[in-house]
Amino acid sequence: MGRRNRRYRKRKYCAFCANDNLTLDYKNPRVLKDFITDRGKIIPSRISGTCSTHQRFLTREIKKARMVALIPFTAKSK
Amino acid sequence: MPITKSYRDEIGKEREYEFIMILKPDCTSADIKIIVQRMHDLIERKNGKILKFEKWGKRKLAYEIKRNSEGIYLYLRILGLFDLIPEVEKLMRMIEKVIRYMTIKIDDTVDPDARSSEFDIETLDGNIEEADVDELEISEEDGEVVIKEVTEEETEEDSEEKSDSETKSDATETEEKPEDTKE
Repeated sequence: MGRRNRRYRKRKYCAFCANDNLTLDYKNPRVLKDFITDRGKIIPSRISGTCSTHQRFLTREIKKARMVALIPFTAKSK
Repeated sequence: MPITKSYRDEIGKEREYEFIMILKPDCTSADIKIIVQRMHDLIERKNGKILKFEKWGKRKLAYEIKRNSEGIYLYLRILGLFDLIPEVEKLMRMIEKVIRYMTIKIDDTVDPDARSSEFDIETLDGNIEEADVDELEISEEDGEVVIKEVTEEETEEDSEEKSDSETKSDATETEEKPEDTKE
């Protein structure tokens, strides 16, 4: 049974390789928001399925966006 | 003795930078004009150029900076030599209205003659209301757009899934058949 379930699992793929229109840029926080958790952590490629090249760029852009307060470092306290 | 040349740079080439600054939300259009004017004068003095100037308008900050929860974003593209940016950042630190700034080098082998400047200091309008934001505006409309995007992606995913599932089902059939014969 376990084997059969594994067969039907949705295949992960890199969103940036699949869609050329998705621009990876710190000025576009709307795209970056899909790749961070509710608490503001960067989602690892093993979960999001991003390829290693794009994950590297993504990390860099997220960190830039955090610097100019487009994306939170952490979730708001209180 | 001042350094006149960076040995990393090719002769005759200049660097292109992206520069973002966040101003306090209570800045008036006159304040913005003064800040940009000062920056422009400094860059002119250093033989640099402002290629592009954009106002992103007043936006909500993702976290508080110096007790401000909102800020006015200004975006510039600057062309200049290596010694320009320290001067610009020094100026930013001196202006109290600036709460955050960031410089990013885009390219370091730009031919200065090939780039024309879209920016003209005389036509500068500090008005934030007229800011051309379209893509970057954070608002409740944003959610709608996101949903639209998601649905588009989903449709793509669905189509791919279908094709995947078809191939998979074919594969399972072929796999199952020999098992049956064995039983």
